[in-house]
Order: sequence, then C-alpha cells, then structure tokens
Amino acid sequence: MRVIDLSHTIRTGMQIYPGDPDVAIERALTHENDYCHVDRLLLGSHSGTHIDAPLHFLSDGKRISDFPADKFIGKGVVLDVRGKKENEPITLADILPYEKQFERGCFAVLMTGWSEHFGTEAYEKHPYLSKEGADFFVEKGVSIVGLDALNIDSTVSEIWDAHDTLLSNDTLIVENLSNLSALDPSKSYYFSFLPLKLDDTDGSPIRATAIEAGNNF
Amino acid sequence: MLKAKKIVDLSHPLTAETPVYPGDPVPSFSVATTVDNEGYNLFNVILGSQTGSHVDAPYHFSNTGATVDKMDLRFFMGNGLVIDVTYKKAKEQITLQEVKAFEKQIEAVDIVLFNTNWYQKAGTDEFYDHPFLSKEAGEYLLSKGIKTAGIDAINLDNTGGTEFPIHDMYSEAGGIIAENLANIDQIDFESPYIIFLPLSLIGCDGSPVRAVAVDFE
Repeated sequence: MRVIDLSHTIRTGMQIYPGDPDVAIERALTHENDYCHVDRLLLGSHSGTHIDAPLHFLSDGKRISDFPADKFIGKGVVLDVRGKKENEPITLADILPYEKQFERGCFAVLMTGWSEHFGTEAYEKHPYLSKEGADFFVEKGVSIVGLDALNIDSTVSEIWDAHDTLLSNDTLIVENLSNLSALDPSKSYYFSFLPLKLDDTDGSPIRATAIEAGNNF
Repeated sequence: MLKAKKIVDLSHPLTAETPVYPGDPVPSFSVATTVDNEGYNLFNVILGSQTGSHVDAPYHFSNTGATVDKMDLRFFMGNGLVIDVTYKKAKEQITLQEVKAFEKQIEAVDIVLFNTNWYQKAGTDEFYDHPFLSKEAGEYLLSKGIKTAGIDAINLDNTGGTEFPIHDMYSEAGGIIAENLANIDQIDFESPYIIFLPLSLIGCDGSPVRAVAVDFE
C-alpha cells in the first residue's frame, strides 16, 4: 500500500483566496515556559487544501457536519486535464474519455497541474470546470469533485456555475489539492478527504491523501 | 478493489464548547463572509493544535522531536486493535498485565486504541479524571513496535500531574499519540482500519484530526 499526500503545507501567510481570513500559526505554549508545546491555529474554513459544503454557497445548504464520515472516503477517477492555458475551461470533451470509469458515489479528481503556480499571482488564473462539466458529474452521481487549483470556478470572472451546480446537488468540492502529478490517471485510487468535525461550518481544511491499495490494505 | 462496509466516526464535534486541556487555546468560530454580502459563506476558525480529537507529534514534548508536518503519514493510518478497559475507574492506571494479555493481537497490528468510554463524560469535571496508561504498559507497547497509541480520554498520561512518562517515551521513540478520541466503543467489527490524518501544519506539535475506524471488505 502506498499513501500519497495531496495537501499543501499550512503556514503563516500562505496564499489564500482573495479576501479570505489570513492564515497564522502562533505559539500558545512553549517548551521554555510550559511543560509542552502547543500552537494556536488561525484559519479560514477554506484555508489551504480544503473541502466545500453546500452551505458555502447556499444559505439553507447542508453544513460539513451534516455529512457522515463515510461521505469522504472513496474510490476516485483521476482525469488528466493538464496543458490548459490561463483561465481556460475544462470542457465536457476533456471529461468524456473517462466516462466509462465513473460509478455512482465515486470521486472525480481533476489534474490541472496548476498547483505548481501555488504562491504566485499566476495561481489565481487557473483553469476551471465548465458548467457542462459540472452537469456531467452530477448526472453521473459523482460524490466529490476535486482539483489542484484555487477554485473550481474561474477566479478571474467570478461566475460560480460549477459551485452552484455541484453544491446544489450535494456534490462536494475539494480545492487546492497538491502533488496530483504523483498519481497515474490509468490507475484507480482510494481518496481520503475527511474534514475536521467542525460544527455548522461551510467547509474545512483537510489532509487530502490518495491510497494505492494492493491486495492487502 | 477494496470497499468500506462501515465507517465509525471516532471524533468529537469541534465547537466553541469543546473541552480543552487546562491552559490550551480555546476554540472559536465566527462569520468571515456571507452569501448576502460577499456571495458566499465563510468562517474564521481558531483552534489549538491539540483541540478536540487530535494527534501529538514528538515535538509536543521535545524541542528536538519531529513536528507533525515531518511525520510519515503511515503513523496515522493502519490496522488497529481496541483494548477494552471500560471497567477502569477515575484516575486508575491501565497496567502492564492488562495490556500484555493482548500480546498476540498487539503483534499483528500497527495501532493500539484504549476504550475507556471516558469520552462520554465530556463537559463534566470528571472528564479530566480519566484512566491513563502506566509507564510499564507504555514501555511494553513500544517494545512491541507500537509507534501509535490512542485513547478516548483527553490524555494518555494522567491529567493534573507534572509527570508525563508516556508522552516522554513516545516523543523519544519518534511515535504518535492520539487523544480525545470518541466512539471507540462503537467499533463492532474485527480488524478496524484506523485513520487519523493530521493537517499539514508547518512546525506544529500536533493537529486536530477527523479520526475514523473503517471496516474494509
């Protein structure tokens, strides 16, 4: 069994969606003054690699704590959509070659390669999922759609079609994945996108991982 | 392909009322943006690195120990054994004999979890008077190669004292302690696969986690 970390490191001042709460890690207890070391974490509900619940866009939508833990562990299809230009949509034509791999309840993981721009201005000009692509995932019963970019919609245009389409169907969204190039799109993986059990919030930072299982888990 | 038949959530809900270890940062949640104003809901999340269900990295008790972001993810997932010590009273030690009785099972797993049922006392003063692991039992687990040990109480050592022998020895051994787990008593299947992945927090002593026990087919 191989475990592959798909998460950005959370650090003070890390890149965030414009306007989101700043991320900071502060010392609360230290070895010098206390019996142990403990930090204080100042985060947004969408800092770093994170998952969106319907409440993010829908005021009467489900909260992240409304989903049981088994929603967040599952088999996923990796779609290689690298080579897109700045702010270019991921179209239905990009997705259709993978159509046969989808089973109801599975995850879709879009490999854009854009995580290599993390920490730069170019990271905000990432490719995004088209409305048709989002409709396709809903129709296939995909449970979670993830990608290695800041936003599943365009951050340039601020049109929220993919968020609206997916979240209104209780299809969750994982953003800011990292290291997807370590995955082989011809293989199937198990993914863990477990959120913290934050009561009543619209999402949570996560430690996203892919698990490549052999015969013994 | 493996399939999860059942998943038991081993995590406490994270709220402003989540009990913390005396002196630790107090969690808080507040609205950052709203659908009405910015177009989407978002929350500020303030947590301690040891809030709620969490894992301790060696750095928690040692200035030279590894921080949580440096730990191999295999420490946080693996085949688990649950040892039932629900008969223990307040502040009672879990002894070497009680642990040694599970020698064969311990040799077959990666992670040992103690089921005290003390998690049900969260919110009461008695919560802090939990049973704890004796020094000899901790040494025995390490001698058997168990680098990850967990408990459904706020501390694997005694709370309220000045000695933390289990934390010291696990820190020294480069191992992991999972604390404040919940619902271990709900694991009603053999060979649970345990997952409690930390957030990738740079330089931190630990992380809140979403802990689960999975029954794989």
